[in-house]
Amino acid sequence: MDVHASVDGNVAVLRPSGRLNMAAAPTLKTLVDATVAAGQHRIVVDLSDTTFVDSSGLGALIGGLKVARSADGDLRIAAVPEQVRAVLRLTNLDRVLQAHPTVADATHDW
Amino acid sequence: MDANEQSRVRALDRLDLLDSPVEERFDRVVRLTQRLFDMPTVAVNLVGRDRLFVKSAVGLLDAGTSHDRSVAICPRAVESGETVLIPDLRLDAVFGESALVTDDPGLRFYAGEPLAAPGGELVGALCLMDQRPRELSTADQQLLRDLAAWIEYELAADADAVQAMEIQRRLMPRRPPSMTGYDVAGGCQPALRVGGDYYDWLPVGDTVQFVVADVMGKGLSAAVIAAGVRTALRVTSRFNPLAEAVRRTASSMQEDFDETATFATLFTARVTTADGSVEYVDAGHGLALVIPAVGPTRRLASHDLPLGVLPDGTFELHHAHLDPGDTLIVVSDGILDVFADPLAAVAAAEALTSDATTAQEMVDRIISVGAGRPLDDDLTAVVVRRERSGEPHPDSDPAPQQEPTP
Repeated sequence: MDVHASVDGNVAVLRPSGRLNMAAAPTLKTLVDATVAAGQHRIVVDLSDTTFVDSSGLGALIGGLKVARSADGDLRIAAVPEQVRAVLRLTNLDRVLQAHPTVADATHDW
Repeated sequence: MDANEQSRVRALDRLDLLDSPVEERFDRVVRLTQRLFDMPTVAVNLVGRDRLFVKSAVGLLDAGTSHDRSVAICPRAVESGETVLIPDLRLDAVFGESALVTDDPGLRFYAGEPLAAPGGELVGALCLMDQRPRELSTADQQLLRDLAAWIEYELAADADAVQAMEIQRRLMPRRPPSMTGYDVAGGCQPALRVGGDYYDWLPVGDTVQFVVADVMGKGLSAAVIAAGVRTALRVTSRFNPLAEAVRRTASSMQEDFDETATFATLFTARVTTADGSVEYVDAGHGLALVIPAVGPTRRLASHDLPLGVLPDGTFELHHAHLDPGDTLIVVSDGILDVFADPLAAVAAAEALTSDATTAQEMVDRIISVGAGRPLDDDLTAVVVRRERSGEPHPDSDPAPQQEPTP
């Protein structure tokens, strides 16, 4: 899995492509950690090129959210596949990990 | 893409081996194959939708690289489903003109044995290559098939998975709880790469406490976290009200959750044996139902987050009731591998159990919807039925307890 990273003003946008699974989740988590460590505390994970997210991938997103919040930042997700939204609703995680239709929507109040 | 190719690609995805690092368990078979055949190049190649990934190799190919599927030879073994033997590639109708043959590295000989995933889908090939024409005797071809079978075994079960499965097996209760007037059963169908499911029950005062938990993530780390949650919850449950026991469990495990970038959904309920009153906490689990003897099914929902998401999470106690004839069913989210959305899963659980007569039969039916297909996630179910008065207790004729089977 490749993760395309870009910085837009004070927001870092990470766009993983392919399957966000057990093999790929550590890559994303490490990248979120490094991004926060580099001083970018507002992160959007853009899932528009992600074909599948399993429980390990969800763990990486929540892990990244915790790291961003502990630095007084936040992590939001954009272009979330319906399969992931259903799991977020079921687990009540939609209360903390907000799914936005696009990166622009995710960052509108930042 | 046709249906065969689709299921083939899905099976390969489930193995989670594309772009994975080199692993000694494959490399040793490849080295041995090289020695046995005195062959310069040997590789385990996985054939994806449009590329070939070299999982392990000696010689001309490099492990960890990907190549365009259209120019590779191994896809022929996957597509034909049989051993591909090309004594001289220059004479082959398809590959004779290939740059691999006419140009660098000037391949002349190829033999490839297809490799099957646990479900039988062909996902790659064990291949031999040389820069001079060669033959393989019948005995050599049999040897190649045996070595391919060894690789298939490694594809299916890695060391991590075997250990994770063993830990998980030990987390499950061995026998039903002593609970007069109730029929209780639980079961777990582990995934190929074990997820972190477990279920449990323990007596607490005049209640029996039931637990179904699912640690997000897979393999050994998920199984170890599940073991930690189980121990913490067992210890705290003995001396605390239910919601406080869950809070303390979450709090004591927080560092482990942070460290491993994971979290756990958990449903736990205390059922008072004498009157069927139920108190429960649902930490982001969302898949617990009460199917009453009459009337519509109720989902036991909550707004609480899973364990490990927020460092200072609190959990709310909710109440329910089991009248005689009512059934409490708790399943894990492995059911979502089978039914796409939670409501369909709930409806299916209801339908599957409607004419079952024992808790064990209900558990078996829920687990069996996942049987015969390699699950992406564990599938766990616990069923607690309050018997109608006068109904014989199945303990008088105990059914064999379901064990998780590897």
